[in-house]
Amino acid sequence: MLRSALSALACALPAAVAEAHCDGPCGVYDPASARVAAEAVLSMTKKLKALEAPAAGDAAALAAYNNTFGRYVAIKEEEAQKTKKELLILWTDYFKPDHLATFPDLHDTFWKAAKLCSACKVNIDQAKAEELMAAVEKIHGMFWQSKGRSDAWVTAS
Amino acid sequence: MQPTLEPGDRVLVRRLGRDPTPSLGSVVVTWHPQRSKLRLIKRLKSVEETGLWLLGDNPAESIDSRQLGAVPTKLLIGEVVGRLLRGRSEQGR
Repeated sequence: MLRSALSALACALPAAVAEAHCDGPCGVYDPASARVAAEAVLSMTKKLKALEAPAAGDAAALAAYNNTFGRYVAIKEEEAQKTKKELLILWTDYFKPDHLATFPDLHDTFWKAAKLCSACKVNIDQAKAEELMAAVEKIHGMFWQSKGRSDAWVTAS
Repeated sequence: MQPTLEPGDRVLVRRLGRDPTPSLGSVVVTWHPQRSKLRLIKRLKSVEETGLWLLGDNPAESIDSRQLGAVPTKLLIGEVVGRLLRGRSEQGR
């Protein structure tokens, strides 16, 4: 009883805030994470397209082929999901309502980019993967413009 | 800092003087190394030559020394010595 009364009293006093969490307080955002993941999606898509099926009857080669194919698909899936997650962080945490004045197509851009992440998972479609890269590049431009910078678009591959 | 602390929890902080000796494993409050007006609340994992190695209790969500590096000792504000009881409205969030 006394403890709760004291706590109630203490809780009514003003107190400084200490942050335990990340996004807002750390303020570290960079579209580079989305770009690296999207590049991986494009790379895995190209690798999948280039894979050649083994000759019929070669069980060992078939197993190796299936294994490689499965790994490539899994990585493509994972990286596309990662791209989507990184884009959502920028969209929902970094960009604020007042950015809409400068970028009226902000919501549409992110929405379409997120949809492209899904399309890259559903298909082995190089055109979609390239569209995704273009969308991430557009977001890169918007992001740095919003910070008053004009960082160059550089890719790893 | 979940599960130890919930958003909005009130804690009591013992301010540390010029020669701070926070206990390893305790929860401490420091100034943010890059953003001067922000205070951080983290657990003190170890004391390195470069400063305090701070980790959040919720590693999946925490930004801590894994990203920020060691936090200079001079940024230490104090050590958490207790948490106030949560008000009814703040429970179960």
